[in-house]
Amino acid sequence: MASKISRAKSASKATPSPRRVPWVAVVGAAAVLGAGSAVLVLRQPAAEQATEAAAPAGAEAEFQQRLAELRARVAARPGSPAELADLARLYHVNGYNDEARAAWLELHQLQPNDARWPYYLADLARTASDPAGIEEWLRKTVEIAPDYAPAWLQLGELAFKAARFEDAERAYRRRLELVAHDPYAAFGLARVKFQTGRRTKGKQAIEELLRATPGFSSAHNFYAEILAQENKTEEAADARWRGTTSGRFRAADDPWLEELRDWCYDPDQLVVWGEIDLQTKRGDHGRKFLERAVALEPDSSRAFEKLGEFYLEQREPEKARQTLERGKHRAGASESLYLGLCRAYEMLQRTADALQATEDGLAIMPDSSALYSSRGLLLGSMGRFDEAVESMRKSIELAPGSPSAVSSFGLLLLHAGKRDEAIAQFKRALQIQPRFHQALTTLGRLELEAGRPREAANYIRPFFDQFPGSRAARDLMSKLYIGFALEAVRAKNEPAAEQACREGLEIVPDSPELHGFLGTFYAHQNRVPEAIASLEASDRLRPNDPRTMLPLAQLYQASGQIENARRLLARAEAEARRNGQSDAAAQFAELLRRLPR
Amino acid sequence: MRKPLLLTLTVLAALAAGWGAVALYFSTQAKPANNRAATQPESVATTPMQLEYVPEPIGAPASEFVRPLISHIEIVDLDQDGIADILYCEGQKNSVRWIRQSPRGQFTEFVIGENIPGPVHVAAADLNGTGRLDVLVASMGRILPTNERIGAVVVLENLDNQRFEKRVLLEHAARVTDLRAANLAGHTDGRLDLVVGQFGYDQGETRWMENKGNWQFESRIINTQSGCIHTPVADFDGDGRPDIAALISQEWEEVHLLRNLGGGRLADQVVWGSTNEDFGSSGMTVADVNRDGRPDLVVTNGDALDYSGAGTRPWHGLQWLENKGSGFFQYHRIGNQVGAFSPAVADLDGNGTADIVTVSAFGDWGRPNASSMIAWLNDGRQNFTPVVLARTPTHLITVAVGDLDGNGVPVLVTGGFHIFPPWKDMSSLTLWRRK
Repeated sequence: MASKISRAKSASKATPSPRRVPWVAVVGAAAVLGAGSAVLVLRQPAAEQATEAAAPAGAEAEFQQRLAELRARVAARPGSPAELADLARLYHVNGYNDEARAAWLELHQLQPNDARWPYYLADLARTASDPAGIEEWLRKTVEIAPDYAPAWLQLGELAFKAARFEDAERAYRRRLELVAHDPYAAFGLARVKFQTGRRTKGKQAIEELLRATPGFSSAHNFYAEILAQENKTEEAADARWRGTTSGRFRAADDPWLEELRDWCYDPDQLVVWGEIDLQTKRGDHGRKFLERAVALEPDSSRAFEKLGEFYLEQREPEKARQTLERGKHRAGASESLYLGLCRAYEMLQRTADALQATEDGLAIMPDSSALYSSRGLLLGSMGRFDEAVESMRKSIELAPGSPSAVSSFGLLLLHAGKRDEAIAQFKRALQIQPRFHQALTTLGRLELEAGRPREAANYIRPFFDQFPGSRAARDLMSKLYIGFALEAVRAKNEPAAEQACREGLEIVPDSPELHGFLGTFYAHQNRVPEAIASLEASDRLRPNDPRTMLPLAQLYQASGQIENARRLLARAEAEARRNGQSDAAAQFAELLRRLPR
Repeated sequence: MRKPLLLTLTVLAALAAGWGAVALYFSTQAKPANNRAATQPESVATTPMQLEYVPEPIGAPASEFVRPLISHIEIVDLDQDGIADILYCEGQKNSVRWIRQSPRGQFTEFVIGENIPGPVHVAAADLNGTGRLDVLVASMGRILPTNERIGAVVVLENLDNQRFEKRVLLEHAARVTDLRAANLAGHTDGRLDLVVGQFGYDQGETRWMENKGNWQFESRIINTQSGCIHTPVADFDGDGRPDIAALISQEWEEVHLLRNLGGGRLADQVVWGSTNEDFGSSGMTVADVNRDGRPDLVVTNGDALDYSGAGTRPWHGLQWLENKGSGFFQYHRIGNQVGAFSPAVADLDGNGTADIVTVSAFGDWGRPNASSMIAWLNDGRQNFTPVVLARTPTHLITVAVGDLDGNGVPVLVTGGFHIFPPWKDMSSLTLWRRK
């Protein structure tokens, strides 16, 4: 019988059997291959890693830092409403809506009697266009805080827009109980009346509202079109003017939402708030948003642009200049920024710098019609006419549909004494846009200067129709009727001259020029009482105008009203001295001296 | 047999172990903090592309306009030769243009209207029963904000499908943004009346102009609010008479139904609105979205033209108002899209449902994921899935959908409106065919 043979191993070296070596190597290689493949596939490219790994800069960095601080505070004091509320505010106003919602919900659980939390949830629902959510949380808000007026206004608006007019009316009335004479609620109630077929009452309600709150632009604008519907053209035009001069619509004050804004680190959002305040005549209020935007994102030009615009409106050209110069060097500097900078330099009477601003802008925006136009006007003012014309032609070539470019060319030609060519450009501007106001007013003035009031009327009347309340339109209208009166005087048609003045005064009853002209006219006709009445009216409307005071004083004297004459001449002398007009002052003093005692 | 199998399994296990170890390592690396971008609308559209379109420039090149301001496009067979054409208006040269398709596939552009300041809407209708389609043009006078009364109602009377005579039917009015034709007065001789939306600025209105014949029209103001953008016409209340829906923006942000009561009377009623006065209503169209036989309304909000730089808003996007009958509409939010404009409805994917396409006129174009055109695909139950169709060209403010190829497959045409920077990726008209 054969037996199994064992081979003894040498004591010095263990030699693996040939079959185990491939196993280990293969398995090891497979593991390495697996790992290597994973590294190649899963590892991000270096650039992306660098991007992620790099610290955020500017506003984002500040926001992240603040976020980290608040998160740490919340983590350190879990369940503490104060910390959680701060974090929620930060989330809410910086666009972290899901996180904000979760935080407000938690706060609502922790503090069910604080109405701010459901109110903020309603605001988030509005952002998400969730009307059911808005209503739910607003109802909760007023349940807890029945006196928070902004919530009632929102409930009213929500119901109105869903055509639930009874609910809307209830909510608006509650708002009015809390905020007496609130124009928003009053306007809402008026609109409910219109929607429910009570037009007459609705119109009356708007009229009452406008008497109580004459600055509420939406009501003016709405009312203007009601008048237009009724074919009351002139009243509609007047209402439109009031609406426009009242400024843009501004949402009702809301302290709880307002306090969130201090937590905003989003420069774009801050600029929007600042811009809204600028447009709604609350520039001072908006200034802080713009300044914060500039501080948060010093590399973005947009905030600088808006802040510069604010300073220009405040007539602070040096601040505007400094701000816009800083903004110019930031990425994304816009055409508006350069135009604003140009304007700032013009206000500072630094024409060469203004020109440089346009050229800096054109270097990066070579197809900007507006910059070429500004450049052209500046070159013209510096006597570089040929270059100015070239710039204007370029402006028009870039924006052939723009009446502004063409009209600016007309202004250039006018200033260069090329009247006929200028007129052709203004007329061309009117072909592009039939009521372009710069062309209308300039052509109107030119026709008046040429002694052609009937032709001037073709331009001045459309301008006045659009802007009946503007000083410029009223002045031009006065001049137009004075022009008619002078034409009649030259034709020796005195009744027509008087009629022209009277017609003008029906349209522009507050015109000191028309009153003054009529007074002088009556004086020449020896109609002393009428002359005095007209000149007194002129003096009331524009006090201390020597062109009125001198003839009026003479008339007073001629009619035996010595004391009136004395008072007037004394006032005239004092005014002349105040203005440094020593010759005029001396003249008035001499007349005073000659008055009988 | 067992040993090779065992070896194979072991190798695979080793591969997986190696991979898994590395994957585990990467997963434990620190992640970045919550990023505001993750909640921005653009990141919502993460659905893999199900539709692809191929762009093709058409009409006058962008260079002709320097910075094109294509404000509106309409696909219509203007000469009624059985082949759809393209009608559009633009605000750089203030012209109205007809891209005639004849024969099919061959496009020739004609300028049919000039010196129409700020044209923003075109439509075709046979106003006087001549058998030829006239072109209705809404003229704002100036597209950028102003309250000047420089709006006009302009009709290009079609004389012979080649010549068009310009008629100005209303001028010196609040800026006109929409102009359509409808038989509101119940004419029986082919006359159509005009529906006029007037945005204005501080003041505006919506009116209708009754066609008295011989190019005489009598105006009646129906709504007295500023901000009217679109006035689509349909029989919304099912009484057999055409009604008007008005999208009213500015501080109002409302949709109104102007119901035709017959006898020349129209009644104004609000049917929906947003309490967000910065909502940015931007466009509205009518379509039977849920195919229940009642015309619904599809509305975009994406306008930020008032603010320089036209920043993004998280609430921009798309919604539809379901017509429940009797003047009642139910609101449904569809989705978010920065700068959304110009909703157009068509069955884009051929499944028999009403899909929607929108474009983006204002976007954060510096972001790589900013989209300029999105399709919203309807699953048949009015659940919409967004699909990004394009990221360039940018600044698209209008899109029209129509069967330009005559094969039943909708073709898209977009228009570029480059009123804000950046001045790259510009376009005038682009035709998009499904790939």
